[in-house]
Order: sequence, then C-alpha cells, then structure tokens
Amino acid sequence: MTGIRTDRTAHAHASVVHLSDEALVAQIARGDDAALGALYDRFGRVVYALALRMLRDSQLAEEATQEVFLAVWRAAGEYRASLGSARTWVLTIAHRRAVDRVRHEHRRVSANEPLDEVAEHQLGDPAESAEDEAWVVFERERLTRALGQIPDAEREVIELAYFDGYTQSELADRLGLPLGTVKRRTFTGLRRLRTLLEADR
Amino acid sequence: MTKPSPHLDDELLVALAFGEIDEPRRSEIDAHLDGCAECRREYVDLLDTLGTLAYAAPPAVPPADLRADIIDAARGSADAPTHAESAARRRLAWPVWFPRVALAGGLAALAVAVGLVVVTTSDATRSVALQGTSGTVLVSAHRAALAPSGFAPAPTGRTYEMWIIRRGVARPAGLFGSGTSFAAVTVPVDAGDVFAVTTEPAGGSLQPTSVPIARARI
Repeated sequence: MTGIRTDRTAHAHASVVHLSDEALVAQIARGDDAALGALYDRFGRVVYALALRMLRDSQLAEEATQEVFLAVWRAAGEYRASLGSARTWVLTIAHRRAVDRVRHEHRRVSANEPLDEVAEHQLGDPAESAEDEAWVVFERERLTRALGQIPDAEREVIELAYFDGYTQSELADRLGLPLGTVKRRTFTGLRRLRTLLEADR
Repeated sequence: MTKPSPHLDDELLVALAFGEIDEPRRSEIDAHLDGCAECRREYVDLLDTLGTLAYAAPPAVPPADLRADIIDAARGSADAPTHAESAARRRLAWPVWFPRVALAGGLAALAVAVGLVVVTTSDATRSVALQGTSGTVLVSAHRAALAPSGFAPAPTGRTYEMWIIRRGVARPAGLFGSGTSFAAVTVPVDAGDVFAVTTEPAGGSLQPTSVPIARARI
C-alpha cells in the first residue's frame, strides 16, 4: 500500500508536461509558472519563428514573443474552449501581436529583406537541431504540401494577409481587385487549405 | 433549432478572423457567436486554419534565455530584467558571429550551428500510424509524442491516457484532452514497445482500467 501511495503522490506532483494544451492554460490561469514554461516549450519556437518572419528583426521578434506569453499569462482565465483549441488561442494572440507591430511600426518588409545577423544564426531546420521539434516539422511539412495545392491567387492573398499583415482593403488596393473578391479568395483559400490539411492527417 | 439572427457571412468571418472588426460591431458579432453554434464552428475552423499557417514561417530558434526571461517577467519579480535588457547584455557578451550552441531542453540533441550549416547528432524522426483511432506517434531516438487526430472529445469526467507497454507492464505515459494537437509521451521508449491509449477517470490512472482504443508498435 505504501508503494502505491508513493506512486500516487508522484503522479499527482508529476510535472505538467503530460497535460493537454487546454489543461496547461487552465493551470496558467491558476498562476502556475511551470505550466507557462511547458506551454512555452510547446509553442515558443513557432511563436518566435512567426514573429521573426513578420518583423524580420531578432530584437523585435524576441519582444513580440515575450509579449505573447505574458498576454497568455494574464489572459489565461479568459480562454474559452468553445472558441477553439488552446493552440489556436495562443497562435491567434501571437499573430495579432505581430500584426499590431507590423501595422503600428510600419515594419512591413518583404520576406526577401536581409535578416539581421543574430537572426541569421537562429534560422535553421529544427528537425536538425532538436528532437522535440518533431511536431513542428511534421506540421510544417503538412502545411507546405497543402499550400502548394491551392490556387496561386488564393495563396497570394492568404500569405500577404497573414505574414505581411495587410488588411483586406489594403490588399484590394494593392492587387487592384474589388474588396469582395479579396475576401472571397481569402475565405475560399482558407477553406480549401483546411480540407487539404484534414485529408492529410 | 431557431437561429438568433441571420448567419454571419463568409466575408465578415474573414475580417473577424484577421482581427479587423472594431467595436461596437465586434460585440454584436460576439453575441451572435455565443448563440449560434453553426457560425461559431465556421469561425473556429477559420481561426484554426490561420493558426496553423504560423508553422509555415521559416523555422527559427529563439535565444535560449528567452524562456527564463518570460517566466521571470510573469512572476513579476521586481529585479527581473525585461528580456530586451538581458538581450542587450547578451549581445555585448557574445559577438553575433559566435557560433550558437543549442542544447535542447533535457534531450540529447546537440547542434552546433555555424552560419546556416547545422551539424547535428540527433537521429531522424520516424512516424508510426495508430491502429484503432487515427493519429500518429512520432518517435525520435528514445522520445515519442502523439499527434492525435481522430479522437472524439473524452466523455465528461474522463481523460485520454497514454501507456507504454513493455514485457507486459503498462507504464503511464501522459494524459491528453480532445482538441490537443500534440501530446508528449512522458517516459522513454524503445523499439518494440507498444504504445496504447485508453480513456480513464479525470486525473488519470496508474494502470489502464479500460480497453485501449488505439495502439501502435514503436
């Protein structure tokens, strides 16, 4: 019996790494900083990579990443499972933060703009650098395949809106298209992407 | 099933998903979403697809001390530097051309990146399809993780629990909820181990109390 009790205690005190994303967010809402660390371990890299892609500056990407996880820390109690998974919630916060910076600091830069030297050293294939990034690589390959299969016109509006932070009306101006067309392309493209991603699971 | 008001159209959902709707319209839409499961599902699907796009960004490794800086800042300790300050100090201490040495948390992957060439000792990751319920087990050396895809929400008061079975002994290997994209297997694995998933009472069990609904040989 003693052995079992010891096991149970160990189980109850086990680290939070085995928790679902949603359970981690619930723990964070209770002020558990170990849960925040575990959430960072799952999403820190993708949040940082997204910020670096959008801001093209390692310093700004670091600040944006820190803001995202502090926003998660403060707002965890407001997370509602009815509005999507915890992963989607974190990645939505990450995207909005980076978009805000792009729009308010007029840092809309092309993906071809050179990175600063620090960022150059941070870029690399996570599959090659860390075993725990297996999921990131898995997700990335699946996404790249799916993006390659949607019509160019749809991919273009999605990428410009998502990675470069253009609003739908800015896109209409830039592409010389009616606003309704831009919105429809974005919606249809995202639908198509979703179907492809689900089929590829 | 009565609907609270006409459904939100696709264009509005797109604008909403990109955060382009401001108050007071935003509150009206939120109220509609609260009451309309159909629009909510459509909106959640859009957000989820957009979120997945983040993984298309070129992979990048954040500075190793960003994690600690974030946790310090979260704890709100008065003496914790903000990340920007410590990043500035680090830059003074480490010339940017200095090769970055990354040691993945607790894992044996040691990678030395020189320029953009990455030399690594980590093994390739392989994936094993689950039997019974759809999903993929990713295995890299002695680590594994589950990417569940076909798991319905666990019944109220129950959770999914992973197990690693070796020589007839099942070891608890972590819990996950529905909707999770990725669950780390919390114990080391070896080729030949059996991975299984059961539903267990909330909080998990020390031994499986139900028949596995998914399994795979690693």
